[in-house]
Amino acid sequence: MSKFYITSLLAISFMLSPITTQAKVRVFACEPEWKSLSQEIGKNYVEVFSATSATQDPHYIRTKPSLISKIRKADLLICSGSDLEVGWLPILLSKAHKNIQIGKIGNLMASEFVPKIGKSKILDRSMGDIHPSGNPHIHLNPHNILLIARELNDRLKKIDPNNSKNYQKNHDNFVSKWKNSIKLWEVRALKLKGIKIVVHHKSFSYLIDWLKLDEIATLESKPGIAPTSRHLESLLIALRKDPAKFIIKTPFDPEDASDWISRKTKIKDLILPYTVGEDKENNNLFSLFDNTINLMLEAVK
Amino acid sequence: MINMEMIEITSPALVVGLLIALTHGLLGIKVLKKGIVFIDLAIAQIAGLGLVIAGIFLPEYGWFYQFIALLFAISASIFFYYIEKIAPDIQEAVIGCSFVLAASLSVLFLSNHSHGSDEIKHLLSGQILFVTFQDILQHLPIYIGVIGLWFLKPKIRSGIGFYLIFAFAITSSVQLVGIYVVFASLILPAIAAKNQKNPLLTSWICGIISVILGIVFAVIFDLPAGVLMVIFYFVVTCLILVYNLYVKTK
Repeated sequence: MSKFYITSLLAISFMLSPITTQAKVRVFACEPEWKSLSQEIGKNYVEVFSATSATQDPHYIRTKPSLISKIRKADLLICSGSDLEVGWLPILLSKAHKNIQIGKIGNLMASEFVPKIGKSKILDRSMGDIHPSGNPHIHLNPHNILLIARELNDRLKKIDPNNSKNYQKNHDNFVSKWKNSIKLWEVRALKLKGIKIVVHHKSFSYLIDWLKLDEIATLESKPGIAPTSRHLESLLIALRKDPAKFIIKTPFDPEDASDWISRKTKIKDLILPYTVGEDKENNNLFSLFDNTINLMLEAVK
Repeated sequence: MINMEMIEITSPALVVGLLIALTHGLLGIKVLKKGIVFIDLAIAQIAGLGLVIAGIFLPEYGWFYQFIALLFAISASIFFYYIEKIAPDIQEAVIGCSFVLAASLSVLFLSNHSHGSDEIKHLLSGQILFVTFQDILQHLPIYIGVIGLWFLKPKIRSGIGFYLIFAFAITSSVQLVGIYVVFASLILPAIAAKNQKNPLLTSWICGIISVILGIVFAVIFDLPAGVLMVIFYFVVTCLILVYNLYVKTK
């Protein structure tokens, strides 16, 4: 009897051990901003991998064996959604576990949890890279980060209930720090309100909306379509009459169009980090917003 | 590095790579002998142009896409056959020009398309690791048909028959692995097989080794598999040529 007791105890502890000891929740983030947020909420209870880096356009990636391996092992998938990853995520997901498929707890599409801008009623690719469900570059409004942090906290608690207290604690800490930061950013960015800017792609729409900047033009004639010469000509004429303060773009936008405009008009072009990088100055969500606002403040001086 | 999981992940790419190595091993020798090495680029690009046009005018991806790509490829191959008959001396020139024209038309059609340049890049270098066994099953009958006809009906190897089976094979291959792998797998093993006692065997061995090395290195160094295959096709062909020189001089 006692033998049976011991073996069953051993068996139970064996079964529980992967959860109770060190098994981490494996998070597959499509973009670095979600990797960073997952680390804030999950801390050392999660192991996060990002499919794209800060210098890569998240619309497109090349497959490497490790990417397929990581998605097969993932317990939680966190992406911007809203068709940003439509070129590669569906094929990658077809190779993944059923727990992270669409509609499951392990499938978190961030844009479903925030109010979106730029929704379009026309479902026609001739309009360019319009995402019918709205602009997917949602992370550049820090208020959106709060909404997604809450959802991420819920999901992590459901996937790994043993650590739910820890997730809640990390979430609450993050939220109070983040709310303070938002206040500071909003005060510092008051100077930026209403300044006229040009963007390359609609990657900064949420930032512009948050800080009430005035986007007077896009270099791309239609989203995702390389600028045409006629469009640039008309932009040049317009900008000579009514100049913008600067042109903002991501590290992965092509340079030719903005170079051409800034040479002809002397309007500065400004590369903003767009997402969390891996360098010392920009390695988390806080520094991403700090840097973005600093760079813009310097440019208006 | 190389474990069961990686084998599982890369097995569709390996299977499709070997299938293409076997089929193209046959076709490539003939292409090189005819001196029309750019025919595969031209046909692949014209089939690609068909896909681009289908993508613009048809809303949903479906079997009709395949039909249009094949239609484009077959029309082109009949045209090239016709040129061979009436003006063999300029056939390669016409083929080269058709390639440039089809490529330019693709760029033109995609210029108004979001991320058009990425679609072109995709057509060129492919995404072999994204291939699934389902894709392979869809295209398998074509490869079996081509290899079967080649050996059972040797007449098909000359005349219009060759151009037709070539169009079928290339249309499938270019969608699975992209133009770079298609070109490398046709031409490089054929170069290795030139002046060999058993050219077909040499070409097949060259193809099989290149595909396997491509996948193995993709796993070890975590790199895209298609372009690595192209590089190994080149390296293995060079090694075979050097070995032949060594044997001859001995």
